[in-house]
Amino acid sequence: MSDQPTRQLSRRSFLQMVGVGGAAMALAACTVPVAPAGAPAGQAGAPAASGQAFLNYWTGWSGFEFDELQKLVDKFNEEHKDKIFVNMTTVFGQYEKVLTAIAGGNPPDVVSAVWLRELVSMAARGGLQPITGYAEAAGIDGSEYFPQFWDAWWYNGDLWGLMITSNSQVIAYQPALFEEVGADPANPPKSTTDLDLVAQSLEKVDANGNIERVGLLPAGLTWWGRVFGGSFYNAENQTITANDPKVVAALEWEASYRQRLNPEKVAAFQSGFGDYMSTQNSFFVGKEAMTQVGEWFIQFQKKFAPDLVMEFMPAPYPDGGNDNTTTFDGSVFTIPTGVKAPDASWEFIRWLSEPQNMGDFCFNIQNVPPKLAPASEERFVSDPRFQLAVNLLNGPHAFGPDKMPVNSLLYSRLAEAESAVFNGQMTAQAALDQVTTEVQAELDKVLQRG
Amino acid sequence: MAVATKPSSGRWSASKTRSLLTGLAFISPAIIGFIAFAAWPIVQSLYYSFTDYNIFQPPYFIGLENYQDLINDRVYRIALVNTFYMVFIGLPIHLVFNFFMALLLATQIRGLSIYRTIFYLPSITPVVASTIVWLWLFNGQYGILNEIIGWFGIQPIGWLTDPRFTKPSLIFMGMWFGGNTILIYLAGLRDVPVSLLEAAELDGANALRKTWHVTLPMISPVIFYTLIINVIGYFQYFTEAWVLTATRDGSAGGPLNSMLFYAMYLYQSAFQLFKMGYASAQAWVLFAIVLIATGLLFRFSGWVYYRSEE
Repeated sequence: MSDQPTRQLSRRSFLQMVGVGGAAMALAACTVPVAPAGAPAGQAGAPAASGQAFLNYWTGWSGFEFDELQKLVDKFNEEHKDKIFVNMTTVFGQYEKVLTAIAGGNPPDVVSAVWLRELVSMAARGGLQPITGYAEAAGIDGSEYFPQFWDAWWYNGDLWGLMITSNSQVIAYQPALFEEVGADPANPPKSTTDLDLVAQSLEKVDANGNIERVGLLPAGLTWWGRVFGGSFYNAENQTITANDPKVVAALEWEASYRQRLNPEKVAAFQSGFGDYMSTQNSFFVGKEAMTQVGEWFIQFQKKFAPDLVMEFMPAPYPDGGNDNTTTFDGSVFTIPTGVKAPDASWEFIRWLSEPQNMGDFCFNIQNVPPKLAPASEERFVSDPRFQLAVNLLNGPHAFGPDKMPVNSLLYSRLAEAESAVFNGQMTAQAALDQVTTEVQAELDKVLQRG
Repeated sequence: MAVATKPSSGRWSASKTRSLLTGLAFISPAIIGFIAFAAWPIVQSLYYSFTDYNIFQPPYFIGLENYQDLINDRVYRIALVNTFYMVFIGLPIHLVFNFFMALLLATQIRGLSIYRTIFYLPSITPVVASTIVWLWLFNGQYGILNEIIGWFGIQPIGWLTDPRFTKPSLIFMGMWFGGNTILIYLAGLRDVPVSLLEAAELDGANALRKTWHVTLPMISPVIFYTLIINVIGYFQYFTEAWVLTATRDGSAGGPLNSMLFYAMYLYQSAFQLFKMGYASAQAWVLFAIVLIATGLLFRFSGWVYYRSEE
């Protein structure tokens, strides 16, 4: 080794330098995310010379909905030429990226991959910037919006985001099948008692007990619990009320459909459902005569079953329950904590919220615009089904997620409770008592630590 | 180390320093990468496991509370039991099955390479893709499995919908993915000295006795190796169950959480429930479990026969 000629050593020195240089570059690369430069708007750094802001926008939309949104983003970029450029990326199915990006100090400039039910979770934990001041300056006071939505975006005296789309919950049904069993399609059931009768008459089971068609398989406690008049959270004394007798009644009622048909047969039947977003959708092929959907299903039906006649009805309700009940959730446009130049981010959100832009996007993906004016445009409400969805959202029984920071846990435990009760493993009361205790314990912890 | 670098001249020359620096410079990307992306996060996660850390706000020190919560967490216990089920029931079944497949594929028959290719093929198919195929094989109404058992008059089974059958279904599916282990066993079987097998044959041993008394001891180090690697892997069982059970709203675990495994619950705690500290505690408990399991396997590895020790 030591007797190598100097020529070799000098080459080694050169290699040393290359190695050290490479290591230094690797180190530098590591430090970029944790030491953001004071560049305006976005980590990609605006082309400073032109003064154009470069916005990274992360969306949860995918497929054809992403394509429609891209058209709108292109329009924004065109109108803001040389000022702001928005680059949209989908994080569909990888929502943890949003959390890690914000935590890592390198967040997207705008993110809409935040479910309304998680808005308070993220705001309360310091993941988002309030947009109260921006909204005030822009003269946005909520008067243009459905009141329930506007209210849903506020927490702790601040506004945390805006939605440009929303949904309403209805039951879709096939008039032809109603006629087949002698039910009047013009007068769909109003009460759960009537619904039970119609649903039962629509059920078809073969000689071996295998299900061929169901009337309806009611599921989703967050909706039916409300339909039955129950609630999940008492904001005044910050308590979880998932074992509200009316929620218990809703779960027992949901389960009664499985018990009647045999839970194992129902599970086998459901596992045979085709892809939801396809012509094989269980409703389109007549396996379900009624199904729980949102107004967006109109678009699905036009696309996958254009010849099918489909009507909507509001959820039938029991005595003491709520009529015309709908629940809503949806993607909220937010500005994460750590965004260096939120002005440009806000401009993008504000622009998207303009009635024309919001309306176009909603129309193209058949969602309800959260603003009253575009939602009552002819292109939407000329379809009575869409009109129903809008009316429900505008009514007194439109419920958003409760404003509390452990909704993810609550929703997942409610789904688990439903599954346990459907399978006959637990009674509705026991399952919901358990949910209440467990989620309350977690809520107490989060509240205690602020 | 001390023995290997024992200086012959007792002198540390300048050129040796240069040589050392050069060497370090060359491996620095790997060292820096390891420290930045593996070692440091591991150390950090140990610290986080003693904190309430929701990822957005600074971690808040809570001592052992996360670990105490684990004891009382009903869902965590379900995930733990499910994972043990896979390790203690699924893994032995797979290893025995793979060993027999390797024995079959080691016999000299016509078209052997075709058979070997066929059995290895699933291992080069992406797990997600082949799991989706299994989703349809297991389908309660249209699945081919129920069709086949129907020929024998057996009632259809809810492979993925009946909590009693979900884990056995996963084990059944797992047999399909054994190509890599089979390959390792095959390599081990080639190493069994033919002279020993011939000697046993001359002494009148039949195929079973030859396998039991010659083949098995000779490839026991290979079996031991696959056992260790797979124990570690099965404790981290994730992808197949996730693909089979994930719903559109992000929850996963199948009916009654019967397919909720340790790594899945850890992931949910961290990224769906914002409980990074709690998830870190779970990770460290898993590490301890795997460490103990591996330690026990080594402790009771007397059955492993190393030829070099003779």
